[in-house]
Amino acid sequence: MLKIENLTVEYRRDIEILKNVSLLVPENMVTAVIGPNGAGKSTLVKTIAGLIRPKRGSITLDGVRIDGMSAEERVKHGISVVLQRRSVFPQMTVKENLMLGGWRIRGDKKALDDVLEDVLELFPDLKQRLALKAGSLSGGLQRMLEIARAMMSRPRFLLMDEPSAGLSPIMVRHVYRQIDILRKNNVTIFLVDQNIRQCIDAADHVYVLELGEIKGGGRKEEISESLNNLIKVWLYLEQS
Amino acid sequence: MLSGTEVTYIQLFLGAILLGGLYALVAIGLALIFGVMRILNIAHGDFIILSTYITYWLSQTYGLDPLLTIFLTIPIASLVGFVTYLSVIRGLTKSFEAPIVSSFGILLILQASMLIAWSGDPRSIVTPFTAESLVIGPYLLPLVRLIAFIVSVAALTLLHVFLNKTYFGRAIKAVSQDSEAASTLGIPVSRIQSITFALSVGMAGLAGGLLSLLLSFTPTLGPEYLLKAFVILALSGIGNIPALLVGGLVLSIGETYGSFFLGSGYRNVVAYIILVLILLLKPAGLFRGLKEREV
Repeated sequence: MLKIENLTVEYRRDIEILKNVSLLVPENMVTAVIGPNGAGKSTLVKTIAGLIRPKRGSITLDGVRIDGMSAEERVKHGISVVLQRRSVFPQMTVKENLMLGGWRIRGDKKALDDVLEDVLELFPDLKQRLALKAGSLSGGLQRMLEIARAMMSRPRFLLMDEPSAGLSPIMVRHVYRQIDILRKNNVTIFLVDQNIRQCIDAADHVYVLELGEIKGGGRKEEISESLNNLIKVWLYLEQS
Repeated sequence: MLSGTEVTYIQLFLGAILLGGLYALVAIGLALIFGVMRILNIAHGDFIILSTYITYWLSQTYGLDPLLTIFLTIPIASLVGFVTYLSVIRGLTKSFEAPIVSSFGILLILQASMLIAWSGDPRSIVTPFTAESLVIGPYLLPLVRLIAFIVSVAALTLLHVFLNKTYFGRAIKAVSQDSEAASTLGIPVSRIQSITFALSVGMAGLAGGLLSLLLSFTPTLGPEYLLKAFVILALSGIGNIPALLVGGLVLSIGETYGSFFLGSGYRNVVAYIILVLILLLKPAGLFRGLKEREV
């Protein structure tokens, strides 16, 4: 279980992006954090991934504190991340991108080949495109490649920052289908997305983040009436 | 039958080709560090000159064969690069300006140290084959230049294969394309950068070692080679290694014919003219079709 307690992150001195954020990410489920633009969702993902240092608070993975570790060390502990922005290595082929995702197991060629085979089974669209330059893929396929590459380290916790950002509605559905497949394969997913409808549909647990503070959350079916009302307002705004 | 003038022009051309390979080797270290770390290493030329002195010192002090000595110069230069990275550069990589200023400081320290150790008098290395040439019809290919060309092209080819065909080489390319994304895959960015810095100064070591066999050198020559490296990068872009080789050939051909027609004192002026022309006419370099950072 991933446990976040009283996490505070500053952008500059005295400008707090996250304020005493606490939440739990149970294993083998999808935990979603929803909130409007500027709520601090991406900052939360980057802090868990080790790309931003928190000012206070702790991040614990199965009882081991990881908030002092570098991003590289966190990968060894089973955390992998799909960033919000495009992050494929555009000059390299799809296969080269995927193989680099397996850096953690690079010494074991058989294990690397096995995990590549498993990942390609989960992402068949990439199988025919292994020799293509990653930069030549469509936005949707690049997103697929980023998710597949993150899976190459066999993560226990997959962090996803706005996986639907910039994608067509068809590709968004495709990405969320993929998230569902990953969950069925026992990958724990921590998801933030502005696409509130899809995000809630995919999640088992939902937290609401507004202006850097967690307003509440828990099992999707059990969240409070007031939070439900807030989510309904956002959904209305999303549709209008 | 070619006239005497035509033979001279072709002879100059052949000499320029041989030098061009070495010029590409001079530029590769600068391209590597800039490509992977976005650091402009102003001291690059001085690492090359330091390596000429290391080769000189090893061959004079221990009586080693100068050509074989180069293969000792490479690890020594790499070690110097590694220590420089750990002690100076590592903490500054998030800034663009700080490493430039620091590398200027390294340049001053290197030049002062070399002046103290070896004085400002020109030095050169004479090998058993310095005066030897391969004769092909009316043309002479100086053996030392031929060896320097072959070793340079072989080294650049090996580096190209290393960067494109090995797992670690691809990790270096990944860091050059997106270091944040690389770190999220578990790739140790700082370690990759330190190894790249050492590799880059090691390549400068090889370039310096080969140059010491061809030309005389003084401790203050570094900026001249930095300029050559700049011109080649302006011609080729950070680009790929074959493009760098073409850039090296263009510079050496320009310099050779420029100094033949204008006088040897104008050799560096030609380099400046090429730099200015490229910046004015083709600011993206000669190989615009090639993507950047494909080193």
